[in-house]
Amino acid sequence: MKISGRWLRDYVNIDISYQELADKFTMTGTEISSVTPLGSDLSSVVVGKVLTKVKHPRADRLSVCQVDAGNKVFAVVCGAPNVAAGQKVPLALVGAILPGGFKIEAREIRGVHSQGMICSEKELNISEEATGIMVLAEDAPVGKSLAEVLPLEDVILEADLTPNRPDCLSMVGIAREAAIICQTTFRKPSVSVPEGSLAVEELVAVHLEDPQACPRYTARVIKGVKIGPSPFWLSRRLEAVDIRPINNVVDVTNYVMMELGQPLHAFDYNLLVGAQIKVRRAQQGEAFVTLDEKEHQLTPEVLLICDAEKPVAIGGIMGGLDSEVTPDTENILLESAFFEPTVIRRGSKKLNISTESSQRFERGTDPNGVVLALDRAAQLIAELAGGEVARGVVDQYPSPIQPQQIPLRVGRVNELLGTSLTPQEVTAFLVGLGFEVSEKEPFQVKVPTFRPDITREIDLIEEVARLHGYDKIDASVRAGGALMISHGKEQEAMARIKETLVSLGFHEVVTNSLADPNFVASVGFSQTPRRIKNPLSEDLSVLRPSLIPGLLQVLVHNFHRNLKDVRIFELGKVFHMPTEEDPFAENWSLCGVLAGKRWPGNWDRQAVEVDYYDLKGLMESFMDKLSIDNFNFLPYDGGVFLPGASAVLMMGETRCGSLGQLASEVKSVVDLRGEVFIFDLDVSALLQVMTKDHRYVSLPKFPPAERDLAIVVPEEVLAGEVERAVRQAGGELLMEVRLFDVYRGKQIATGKKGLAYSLRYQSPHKTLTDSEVDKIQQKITKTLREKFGAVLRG
Amino acid sequence: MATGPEVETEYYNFEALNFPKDHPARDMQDTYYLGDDLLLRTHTSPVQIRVMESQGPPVRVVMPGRVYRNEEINPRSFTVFYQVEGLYVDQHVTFGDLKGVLAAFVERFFGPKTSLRFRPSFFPFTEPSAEVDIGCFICQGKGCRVCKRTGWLEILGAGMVDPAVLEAVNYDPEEVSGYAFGMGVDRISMLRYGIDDIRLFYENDLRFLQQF
Repeated sequence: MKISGRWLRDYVNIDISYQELADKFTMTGTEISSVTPLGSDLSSVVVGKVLTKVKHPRADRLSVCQVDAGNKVFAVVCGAPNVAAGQKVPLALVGAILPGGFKIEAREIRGVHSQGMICSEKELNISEEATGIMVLAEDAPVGKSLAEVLPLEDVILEADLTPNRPDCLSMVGIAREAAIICQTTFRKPSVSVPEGSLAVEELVAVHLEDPQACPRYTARVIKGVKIGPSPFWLSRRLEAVDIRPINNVVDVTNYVMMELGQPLHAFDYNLLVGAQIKVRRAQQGEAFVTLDEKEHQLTPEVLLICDAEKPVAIGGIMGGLDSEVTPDTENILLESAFFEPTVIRRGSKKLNISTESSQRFERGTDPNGVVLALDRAAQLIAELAGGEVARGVVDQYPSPIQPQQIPLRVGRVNELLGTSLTPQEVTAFLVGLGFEVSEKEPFQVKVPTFRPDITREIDLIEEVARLHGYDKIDASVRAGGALMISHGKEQEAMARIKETLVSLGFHEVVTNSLADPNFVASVGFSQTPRRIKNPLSEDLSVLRPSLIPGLLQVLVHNFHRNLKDVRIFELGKVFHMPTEEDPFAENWSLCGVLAGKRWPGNWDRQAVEVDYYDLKGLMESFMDKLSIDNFNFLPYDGGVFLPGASAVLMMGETRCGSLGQLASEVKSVVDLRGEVFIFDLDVSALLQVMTKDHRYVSLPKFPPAERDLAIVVPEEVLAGEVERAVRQAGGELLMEVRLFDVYRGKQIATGKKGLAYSLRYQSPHKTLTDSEVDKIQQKITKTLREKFGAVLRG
Repeated sequence: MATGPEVETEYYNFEALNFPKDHPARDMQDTYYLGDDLLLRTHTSPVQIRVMESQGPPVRVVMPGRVYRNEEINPRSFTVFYQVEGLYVDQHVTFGDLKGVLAAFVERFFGPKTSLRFRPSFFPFTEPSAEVDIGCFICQGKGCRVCKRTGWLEILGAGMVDPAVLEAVNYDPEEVSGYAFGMGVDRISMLRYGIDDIRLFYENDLRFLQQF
């Protein structure tokens, strides 16, 4: 919210600089994000009177004016369409420097000498108005400095308010804070309403159908007003806080809202049927046009203000088009009400309308400040728009809301803050806030209704803390033993996974979990991904079902920058469709991408492109470094990989991921040249193994026996399958199997291949004899013959 | 250390943390919804609730993780980012203790000469709440572009655990008290390394990655 320093001074004396005030606000919880002077440094801008205006001889859009500056008349070339003889205008004299640094000089404009400039409001940094020059009041004294004539100089403090402080959404609320932090007194605006003889009860009756949603509704009627523009001081103050002036009556309602924090609404009384106001819930499907000319279909969540026949406003949110104040309005009904915050919040969300009014009501206004605001507005309207204020106020307030009484223990204050404040100090802070504190402890604190955020002892403690000053609370170092040092085995395992991949030359990346459904589908993930109900945009509308699409995008990003040797991985969550048992439906996934060269080429070795065996080798090293040994690769021909250059990674009998060369269809979608290799692992399977307790296996006491096994098998038999069969047949005495030769050629028939394994046997209990080993070898040979048609090589 | 799911329920993300339904405090965090009750967590604070539900006091834990906000993407904000937060609940924990632990953190992370200030703020799940600023180390507090001429850089939010949060996990606020603090990992890294665009973290340009 913007705070006008000039306006603030109506209610509080400030004897420190605005910057100092801003710092004090920030340090007591009202964060001031900027301090901006407005309309300053307008020396050498004076009130001028346009004596004559003639068209510029050589430019259609320019005119030449003779402007009286009091002691001298200047010729000034002006481009504004609204300049006219007889006007009083702001004239920047030669030598003046306008806000923004523009220096006024005497110069020739298309052959006419111009000595000064007639300024627009924007050029003077008064407002954003730049369509024409600013026209001053008729009685402005010619030759006087503008700064003396107009309330121009101001300082705007921009406050970033937290949602718990609705009372600060007004000048008076801010002034109350300023008074406490500057230790000075705070003055409420004095209000007195000049009432006429007509009684308001004769003019309007108010009926509350839902007093829970609208606990209080008050109204006044003013007859015979004259709608017109607001005086400069009023429109200036509204503009300073970013509210557009409209007409004197509407401006007064906005002014009082900004002053006291109570939103008001003015109806054209003549357009209300039946001299009555009814507050009720909307019916399902009821239609209503708000004053911004939008039509809304309503639901019972929305509260309506109605006359005898029809709705005339959406309570607390926005008025209706059909009853708004227009230039022809003569009689007005002024509304000041208190609405239940959640009702306004739901209605505002439902209709997707947020206004200055709804923002205040949904945070909580003061139910007991309603009449003060109504009177203040009536007073100002009578002053500025004339008319007669009907006698009295219609006030429907069936169950008045009382200030809360909250107990407060000073001991508790000090215990929680680590302070040693006295009861007197605590009382002083609370009294400064306008709270009433009982004489004796434990204190009973009466909290005024303009502070709806304070309902509990802890809320009072916070008030004491912020006014005492967080900086005055001593930092303490607490000696604490280890309370929760379990890092979590899974966390540790994930850290190890990352470190291991980094040690293998990979960079860790993080990519967005929100993805583009079209892209995800185009790279081979055809299952419908999980959608977000309210996405920022379509290209961030689903949760990623796999890390692969994101990593491909990283790859493409780098390829486009000619960075083609890529080794990256991501460890992150992937998401699938929720089920009854698993509504969260998210899993940790680990995915890596390998592309480009195995190593950069240099003088002693040529660059080589990575291939599938690099990927497989890296996976083996990875598993090895994590001490996972019961894994193997099975052929795989699905997903986004190329059949024949891909595999499923098994750990024991569990499938824990896949790896392979990216299929060319997918590659062409992302327009990548060169081959891309990917591994995609399910982290939970890895974690299961990694988090198991590791047990020591005693070292062998007896020597091993080594044997070789050379066989010939048909070409299509996979070496990995053979190895599995060997291990199975070999039993627990077979400790190691290593394929040391693959041979195709002269001595081998076409369509066959030779495989040579070295086998190591060992028993923990004894030295194995030759015959024991031979028996196992024979069993292996037999198995291989039966399974694969393997023949022993001589 | 503890972690929790990125897909969360309204209860853990908001209600248990004292964000009432239909309260403007929920506007502080623009939320992605997956269903009526499911959302992408907007902060790591739901893990506080999960940890406290799983054990009685005392609790001392840090909670890192990925969080989501439905906010426009620009150099200073991304729709996904990381937070890490800390929670300590025990007998007689004070606001002074919170100041002590954060002063120690700032000294270790940003250097021993870093100035530090606590100013009052509002978070539904802590009270009193504070925002913590460090003296801008780029301009030494004189005022520059990075600190928006204030001389201070906001680095984290903190406060005393609100009694309503303790009650939500069946801790007795008369018996124990605690503090919590949380910070944006991306933001802290940006400040520490002088990175001016958060999107660099998620773009993964190799020339960026190679610098770390």
